[in-house]
Amino acid sequence: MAKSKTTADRGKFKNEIHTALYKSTNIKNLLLGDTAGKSTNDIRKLFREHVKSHLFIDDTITATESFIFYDVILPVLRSNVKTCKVVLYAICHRDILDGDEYIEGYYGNRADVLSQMIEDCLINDEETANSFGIGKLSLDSVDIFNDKRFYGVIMTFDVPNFR
Amino acid sequence: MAQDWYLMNTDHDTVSGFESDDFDALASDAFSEALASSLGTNVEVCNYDLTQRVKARVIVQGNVQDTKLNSITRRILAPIGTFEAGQYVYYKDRYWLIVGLVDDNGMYEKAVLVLCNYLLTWKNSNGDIIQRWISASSASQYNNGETSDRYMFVRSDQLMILTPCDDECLLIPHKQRFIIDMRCKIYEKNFPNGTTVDTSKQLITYELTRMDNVIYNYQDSGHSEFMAYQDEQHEKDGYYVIDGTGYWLCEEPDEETDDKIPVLSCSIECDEPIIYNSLEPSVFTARFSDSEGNVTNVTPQWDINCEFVDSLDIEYVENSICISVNNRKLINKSFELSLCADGYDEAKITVQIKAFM
Repeated sequence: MAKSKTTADRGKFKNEIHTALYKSTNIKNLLLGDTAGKSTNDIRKLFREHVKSHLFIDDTITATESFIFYDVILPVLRSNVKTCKVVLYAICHRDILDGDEYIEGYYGNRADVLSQMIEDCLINDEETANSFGIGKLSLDSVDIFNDKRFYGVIMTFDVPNFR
Repeated sequence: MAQDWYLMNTDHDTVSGFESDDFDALASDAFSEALASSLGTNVEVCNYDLTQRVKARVIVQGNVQDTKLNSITRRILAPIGTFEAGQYVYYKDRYWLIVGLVDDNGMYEKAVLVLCNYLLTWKNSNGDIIQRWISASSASQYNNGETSDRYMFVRSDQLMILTPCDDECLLIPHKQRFIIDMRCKIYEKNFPNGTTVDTSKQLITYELTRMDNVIYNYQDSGHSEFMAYQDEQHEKDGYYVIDGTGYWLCEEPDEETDDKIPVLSCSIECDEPIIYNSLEPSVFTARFSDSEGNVTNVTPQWDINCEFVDSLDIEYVENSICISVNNRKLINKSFELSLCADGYDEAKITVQIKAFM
């Protein structure tokens, strides 16, 4: 069997992350708003506009909405094992960051709620968490994203994998 | 000696001393003198519908033959630029079709003629009567004239038809039917005066089944050929007087009944022919319609052609098939989804399995 390419995991992880985020009803509701009456195809298109498999650059998006940006890096490559990290930006436009929408089980502003939903989706869902690498996906750090229009959190997940 | 030399009349300067100059100057003159002799004969060169006729003096070769096939071909020599492929030559009260590329050797040009043996008549799409002299030869010389299955025998013969290369000949539609039968002349002789229509006579009819209009095209000239397959005589095949002239015509193809089976079509409808791995099923819906485009209610028969059909989750809901997949190894693979039903043409689409990104 041909040896798996070192960089192939970046693409495979993105496939898993995108699908996992899409399957989360909470995330879809928060990002897309009311989708009643929309076709599956339209929902998928909208979702693609709000979840991107690359990192965010300010001024490229000005819509007053919430977004998820992420990418995968391989910071440590050893002879047999590589560590994969998922860097994920859960960000909201400042105009809709704070509000009184209450979602049971989630706390804080919209970006906080979004980050908790992502954690639920990627970490607390056993099947998803185990679909990466040789170990479980784990949340490594949470940082703040603070920019002109958007505010949110930078979540870093990591997982070891065979090289 | 010198007297013989100057027998040839020429308008050219003969003092250059170079053989090539002499050839250039005298080649066609020498041929002209040969034409003027008893070797030459008078013919008419005619266009495809015989409306333009130009008299020409030519030398006909091969007119004394000792085989049946050779007796209906000729080679003809004429001054350069006299004729081109696809024209007729009217020679000794017969029409001959020029086939093969006409070319010259600096002295004269040569063409190959085949004897025309039938005046083909048909109606074009505008309803105009078209007539062309054709050379018909057998393309199934030694078959017995019938084909059969267990219960019936039908006529079987095919002719290779050589025609000019004009617009009307090139535009003869597939399945155009013709009467090609020498008995027509005998029937005509015996018609009572005033006959305008007669469809009672037994006739041999053919239909065009193969058109070869490129292989004998020489860019600026050429002729066309088609294969005619014998078919069964129709009720309306016969003799018709149109504008005072009698023609033997096949009935016009009836669009309602002739060779047109009502088309029942089906199609597969979907948002996009893609299934995303691990996502909700993609729905493919069967749509059946009759020959007039009306949607009909038919039970669909679905078929999936791939090696991994067992890895697909399939659900049938009314006239739709819902397919999902949860196997990352199948990402970027595809399969063929086909739909059919009794009496309907099969519809196929290629469905791709993709990762949702």
